[in-house]
Amino acid sequence: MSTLSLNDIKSKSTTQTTRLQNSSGVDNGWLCRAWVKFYSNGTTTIYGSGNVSSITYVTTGCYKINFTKALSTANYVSVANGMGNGYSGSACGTGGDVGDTGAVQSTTQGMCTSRTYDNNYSNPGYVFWAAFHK
Amino acid sequence: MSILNVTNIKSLAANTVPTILDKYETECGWFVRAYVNMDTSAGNISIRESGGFSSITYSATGNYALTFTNAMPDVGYCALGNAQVNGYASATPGFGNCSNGVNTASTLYVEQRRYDNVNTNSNYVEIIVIR
Repeated sequence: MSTLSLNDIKSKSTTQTTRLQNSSGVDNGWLCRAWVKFYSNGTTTIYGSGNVSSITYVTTGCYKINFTKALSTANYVSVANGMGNGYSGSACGTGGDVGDTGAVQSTTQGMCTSRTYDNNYSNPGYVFWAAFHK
Repeated sequence: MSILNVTNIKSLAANTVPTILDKYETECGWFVRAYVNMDTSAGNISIRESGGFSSITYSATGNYALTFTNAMPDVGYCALGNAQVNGYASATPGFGNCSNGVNTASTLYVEQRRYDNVNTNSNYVEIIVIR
């Protein structure tokens, strides 16, 4: 076993983060590339984030996540959860069609929608959102 | 391209993970800091596998308190999860202002409900925390 002790891991590439691989050189771990915890009640307040500069409030329950630095692909995986006021666990959608506008996720913006159990758009209070890609 | 071949990467500081930077020294990647796959369907906590949680407490139906092994630096962490309930396609875990508590840097509170807004336990509750 070998252990490397350090504070920072810095990529030599301008386009790719450090990759995690097994002894055969196959990728076997991936890092979160953008994440945010925010509160929504008609406006949005960010509580914590990584690579997220701001949230665009589109309409009730509909948000665009603006990245500080563009991701290298629009085909990232994004996931989200919401904490509904009075409705524990709002169902959050990601990927596209925020506010029925047809907008879809891109390298510079992620998408998030939130609905209550009865399928109504709702600002859930706390929203948690994250994106992953290789 | 350069490859560093090691088994472990260890942080020099306590209760942190190494920071992932790009060429310009901007933070560009974040680790999963805690995760759990558990079964709560019997009215208790049965952990299949976990990391980063020192204890998980069953508070009430659909309500759980997950204590981090090492506290997060603040309450701004990102918690994500899904659940599968027998007889119901899914249940949705909520995090934040739960009826059993409000998230802190040391404890993540979960409140989970099914499609008709009734608190429910689940065969599979799967949660990750990013920070």
